[in-house]
Formats: sequence, C-alpha cells, structure tokens
Amino acid sequence: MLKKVIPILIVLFVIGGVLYIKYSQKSVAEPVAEQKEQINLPADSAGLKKNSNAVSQGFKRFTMDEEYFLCDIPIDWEFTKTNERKAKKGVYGLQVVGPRMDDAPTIAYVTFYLKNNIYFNGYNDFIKRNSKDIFGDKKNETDTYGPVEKIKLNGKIAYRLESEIKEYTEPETKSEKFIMLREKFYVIPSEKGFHVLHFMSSDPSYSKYLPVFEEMVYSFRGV
Amino acid sequence: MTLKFTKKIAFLAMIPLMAGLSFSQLTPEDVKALDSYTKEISLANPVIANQFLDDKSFIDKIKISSLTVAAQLISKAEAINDLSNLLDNRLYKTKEYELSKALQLRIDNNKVLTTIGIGPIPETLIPWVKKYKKKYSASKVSLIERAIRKYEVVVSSKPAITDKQRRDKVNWERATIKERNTILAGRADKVLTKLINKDSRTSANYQDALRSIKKFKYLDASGQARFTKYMAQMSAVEKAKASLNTTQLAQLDGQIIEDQMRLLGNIFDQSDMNAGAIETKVNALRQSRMKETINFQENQILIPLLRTAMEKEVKGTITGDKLLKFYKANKLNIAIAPCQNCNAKFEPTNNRIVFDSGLIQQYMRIRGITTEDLEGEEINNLAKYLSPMLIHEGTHQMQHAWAAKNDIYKFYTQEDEIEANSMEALYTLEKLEKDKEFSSLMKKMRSNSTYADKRIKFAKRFQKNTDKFTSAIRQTYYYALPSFASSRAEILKAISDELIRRESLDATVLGDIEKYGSSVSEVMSMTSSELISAVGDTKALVLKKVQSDLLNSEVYTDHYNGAEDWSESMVILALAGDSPSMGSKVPALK
Repeated sequence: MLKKVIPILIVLFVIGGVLYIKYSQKSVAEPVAEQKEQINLPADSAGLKKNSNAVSQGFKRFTMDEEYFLCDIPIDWEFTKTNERKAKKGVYGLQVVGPRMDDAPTIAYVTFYLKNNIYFNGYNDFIKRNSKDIFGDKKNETDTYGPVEKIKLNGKIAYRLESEIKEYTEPETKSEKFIMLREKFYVIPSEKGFHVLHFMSSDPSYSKYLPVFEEMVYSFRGV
Repeated sequence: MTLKFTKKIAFLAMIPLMAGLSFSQLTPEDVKALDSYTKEISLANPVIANQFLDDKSFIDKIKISSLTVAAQLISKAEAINDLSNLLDNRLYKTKEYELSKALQLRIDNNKVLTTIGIGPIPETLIPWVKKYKKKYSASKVSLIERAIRKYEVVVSSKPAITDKQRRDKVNWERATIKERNTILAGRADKVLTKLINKDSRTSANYQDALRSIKKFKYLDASGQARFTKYMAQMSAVEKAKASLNTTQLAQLDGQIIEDQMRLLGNIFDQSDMNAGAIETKVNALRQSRMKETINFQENQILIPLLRTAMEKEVKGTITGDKLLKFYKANKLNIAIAPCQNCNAKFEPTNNRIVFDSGLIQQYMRIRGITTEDLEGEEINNLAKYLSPMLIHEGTHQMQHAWAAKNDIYKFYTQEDEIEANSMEALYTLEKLEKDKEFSSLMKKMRSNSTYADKRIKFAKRFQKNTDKFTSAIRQTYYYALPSFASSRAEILKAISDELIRRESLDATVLGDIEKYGSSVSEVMSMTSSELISAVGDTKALVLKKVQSDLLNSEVYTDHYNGAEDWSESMVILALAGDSPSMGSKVPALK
C-alpha cells in the first residue's frame, strides 16, 4: 500500500513545486490568493526585478518627495508631478502621458495618499469607489467592473482591479461624443497610507501600452 | 515675415519702454536680469517665461519702476506660459476640434502671442514647437498641425497645380485658425443639412458610411449636436422597424428622418402594440407635439412652481445649502427658454438662470406626460431632474456676485467651470447616495436621456478620482475656453498698448475719450473680448482700474483655489451617511 502511495505523493509534490515556481516568477498578472486574507500569502518576490537597481532602457528612475515612493517612468512620455496644494491635502503623485490613440488618452498615475488625505477614507474606500458603478453594480449598459483580486506585488500585499467605462467628452453640451476607457489599478496599503498605480487607455491600445505601465509597476517601491 | 525677424522686432520694440524705466530703483544686476528676461520673452522662450512669472520679488521691483513695462512683460510671459501649458496637456485625437478652438483663441489677429512671433499666421506655431518642445512625439506634432488646420493636412496633400488651386492655397495660408475653422464648419454643415432634409435612408450600413465621412469632424458645436441626434434617430428608426407590419413600414418609405420619427410616434400611440424601450427611445428623439410644448402662459405659471420645487429639492445637501444661503441675500431668477446646444445657462446681464425648454420637453416625452400634467408631484420630479443644473448655474451666479462684492473686473475662464462642475458633481453624488427618489429617477432616465447619463457619469468620475477631477475638467472638457492666465495676459496687453498709444494722442482726442468713453459700470459687464475691442474708447482711469485688478491676481487665484479645495474636501462628507444639517463636522483642510 505504502509503495503505491509514495509515487503519487512524489508526483503531487513535483506538480506543487512546479506550480509554486511558476507563480512566484510570474509578474503581477496572476492573483496569488483571491479573497483569502487570513491565509499567509507566499513570501515570494512576484514581479520583483532580479536587480532592483537596474533601470530598463527607455525608462528613468523617479523618487517622490519625502521618498514616499520610487519607480521607473518612460522617458518619452510627458511627466507631471502633483503640486504643493495637493501635498497639503495629503497627496503626492506623478502622471505620465503616453501617445493618444483611438480617440482616448494613454495615462499612468502613481499616487501616494497619506492617512490624513482629504479624498479617501483609506485604501478600502478607494477600492470601493473604483470597483463598482455609482449604484453599486459591477456591470451596467455601458460599464464593466472586474473583480478585486488580492495579490502579492513586489513582496507586499496589493489589490488589483480593472474596469471598462464609457466616458462622455462634453458634459455640458447636448453632444453624445464618448470614448471607451479601460483602466487598471494596483492599490497597495502601507503603514503611512496607501499607494495607487493606475493605468488608463482606449480598449485597442490597452494591450500595446500595458507593458510600459507594468514596467513602472515592477520597479515600484513604496514606503 | 520670418519668425526670427518678427521676434527681433518684438525685442527692439521693448527697448524704448525699457528706456522709460526709472533705473534709480533698480540695481545694475536687476537691469541685467531685466534685459535678459526681456530678450528671452521676446523670443517666446517658455522656460524663461515661467521663471520670470515665478520671480515675484523681481516683478514687484519692475512694477515700482514702471507699471507699463511690468504689465507688458507679465502679459507676454503669461501668454507664452499658457500656450506651453495648453500644448503640454494630454492631447486626445478626439479633441482635435477643441484644441483647434483653444489655439484660435490664442493665435489670432491682435493677440499677445503675435507680438512675439506666434500668429496670426497659424504655421508660425510649428517652428516654436520644434524649437522648444523637442520631446513631443511625431503624432503630437501632427495633431497640432491638424489643429492649426494646415493646408496640406486638412485641404489637400497634393501639390497645387492649377491657378485656382494655387490661389486657394495662398488664401488659405493667409487665414487665421478661426477663419479656417469657420470655412470648414460651413462646408460640413452644408452637407449635413442636405442629408437631413433630403435623405430617407437609415440602414446600419448607411449609418456607418456617414460616420466615416471625415468632413463631419469639422462641424461646430451645434452642428455636432445635430449630427449626433441624426445618427440616434436613424438607429431608433432601424430598431423600431422590427415592431412594424408591412403597411406601417410602407408609411416610412421615402420620408425624411424627422417625418419618420413623427410617423413612428403616431404609430406607437395609435396602436395597441407595446414596443417598450424603443417606443420611449422614439419619443425621446422625435419633435414635440402641441401638448408637449410649453406655451407662454404655461411658462409663466411653471416658473414660480419650478423655482420653489428646486429650492426644496437642493435643501439639506452640502452644495444646496451653500447655494440657498447665497439666495437669502440674492434673487433666484429662473426662465425656461431655448438654450441652443446647452442644457442650462446663467445670463449675467439680466442675472437669471435659463433652463432649456427642449430638455424639459424631451423629459415630458420620455415620461409620457404633457404640460397639463406638470403640477404637484410631476413638478417635484422635474425639479429633481433639473436640480444639478441649478447648482451648476447658481455657482456661476455666485462667482459674479463675488466679483461685484470685491469690485473687481470678472471675465469667464476655465477656472469658473472647474468650480461650477465640481459643485455640480458633488451635489449629484450626494443626492445619488442619499436620496432614493432622485437616484431612481436618474437611473430610469439615463438610458433615454444623455443629459441624465452625463450627470451620473460626471458624479462617478468625481467620486472615483476626486484628486484628479480638476485636471480632467481643464484638460478634457474645456480646452476651448481660455484659462484665467491666458485671458489675463490678453487683457493686460490690450490695456498696456492702449495706454502707450494715448501718450502720443493730442489733448482734444484724449478729452473726447474721457468725456464719451466707456465708464466703470459699462466695462464691468463686458466680456474679455468685448473689453479688448473697447479699450480704445474707454476712459483712462477705468483702464487703470482693470489693470490694477489684474495685476493683483492673487485675489482671483485665491478664490478659485479656495473653491476647488472646498469641493474636494467635501467628498467624504457627501458619501457619508450624515449630511451637514444633521450635525456632521465639516473636515478642515490640512
């Protein structure tokens, strides 16, 4: 009996090991443990670059004031930092704007919200406001909100959410002009507040520019 | 005239002004710095222009030495800075029209930028972009070329061969962006009108063919609204056809679109068929019948009822209470009238808020009610529906009252819309969160009313990323509207030029201006473009008063920044269970 069980156990162990290695080396694209907060997530380095000091070609490193975070940003994209008035409201962030495609913007934001920021009551509030429509629905005639996935990002617990939303471009006129925006967020709680990495673009250009955003995500380190 | 040559002239023109400075007030270092700033600003250098504007203590020194020189330099530096900020913004392909409108406001005859070599010929912008904005991608430069309506991009990429083609090209290249846009919009509108009034086709293929007509992107705002409505009508007709029998289908044959909509409305009314959503869609898009049109007498009865109902509706909300406090000391005067391409507007000249009669009539058609039903509960529902616009336009009324109270000249800018839109979004958000009837009404209306859908989506945008709402408004929705900095620069330049011109006028002419020229009260009610056109006929003291107002820009920026801070600080409260009237504390700004 024991002789029959041992090979099965070995096979299961090997499969388990392969799966573990696969997921621990995979980028942030896969959830580690969805909706199982109480379970210890693997202390791996999902998404972490092998050499965290190396800056990829076409990127440069940016360090936010007070060293609230650092990350690599694409050199060719237009960069803007939040102003002093925003800092007084507990927000430090950057915006990088990429090529406009398919009648929609391509933008990545990295923002740090201090605990006393005036906009959100913590990271849960941010997730709540960005994971459902205004009536609390995950889907309506024009908008779709994906699930909130708990993952491990660069060694820290993070929440990943995606959505596709219809946005009118002229709110005051009678025009019905609109764009379809796809958005992706990583929300990372920290002791001093929480970080949000946010990407948006039109649907067709989403897959084209997502790798640029993911490079920012991989290089991201927060306080 | 080349850009380089124009800029040299601009610099030389500054020398006599600088000679007029009282140099005793300035140290040799200051004089050197002024010389350097003047030179670089006359070259339209955006980095130095920004640096100069940040150098407040230096500007104060120049102001003491010569207010005119200071005003001219500030005006030029702000115009460069504003142009630079506009182009640095994210520019969407879809916003080509808005970018073009924004550029036509800045690059035109007699604008500040023309004195430093940018405009009125639109192509003068491109060398500046290539010199100072080297990081811009090729697609961004191409978008800018489309926005200035470069001949090769919007008219013909082929070389002009015939005399007529060459003449057309020369004339085109002499035109300003505004003139080019007017020509393009006129051509597109002509095609659209012909289609609406003569064509009866509505098929999906035909709709696709119309969507791909590039000419229609040049339509002006009202043309775009007509095009959107036309497309929606064709789509509704196609969907409605599935519910019709052969005889009914035959009635539509060969009819132009408005007649098809009218006939469909009649067919649905007269038959027992229940076409459901498509019947409501047809009713939303067709023209109003007699009983759905508000006549003069009904208008007069409706206005006081609606005013009272709207005051009741907004009461108890964060923004509503702020507005009602204002209306304790100021009159709320509303009207129902056609508003062209808008849902509502505030008219400063007669201090009233106009709600679009077309919007109200569409509301009645969607809900299946007539003017006779507009009383009691139906008035309250209408007030709910329109209330976000009361907050928006009421905010504009408060802005005008604030300017009057501070006795400063008020002109319409992007910052006004940032405040009004933040107030509106905050209100809608709070109502959707706390008022079930409001929420239910807007939810029901959104699938047939773009107005309702926009209010909901706008509130959602504010709720999602409150800290990025201001820049989204500035960069996405109101490109074409000048910013405070841009308008201020234009007005200061016009006044400074005029004051210099007057130094060489003879006493008789000056006397006439002082006797018959525009007074303070007349100027205070002028728009910025009206004032710029009227500086030559305005009394000197009035010009100096406006100049003084604008040179103390903190009065304006403190107001706008304060308004933005207030709206942003209220979002958590708006989403919380308690309203301020229930005793919640308003969070203080950190």
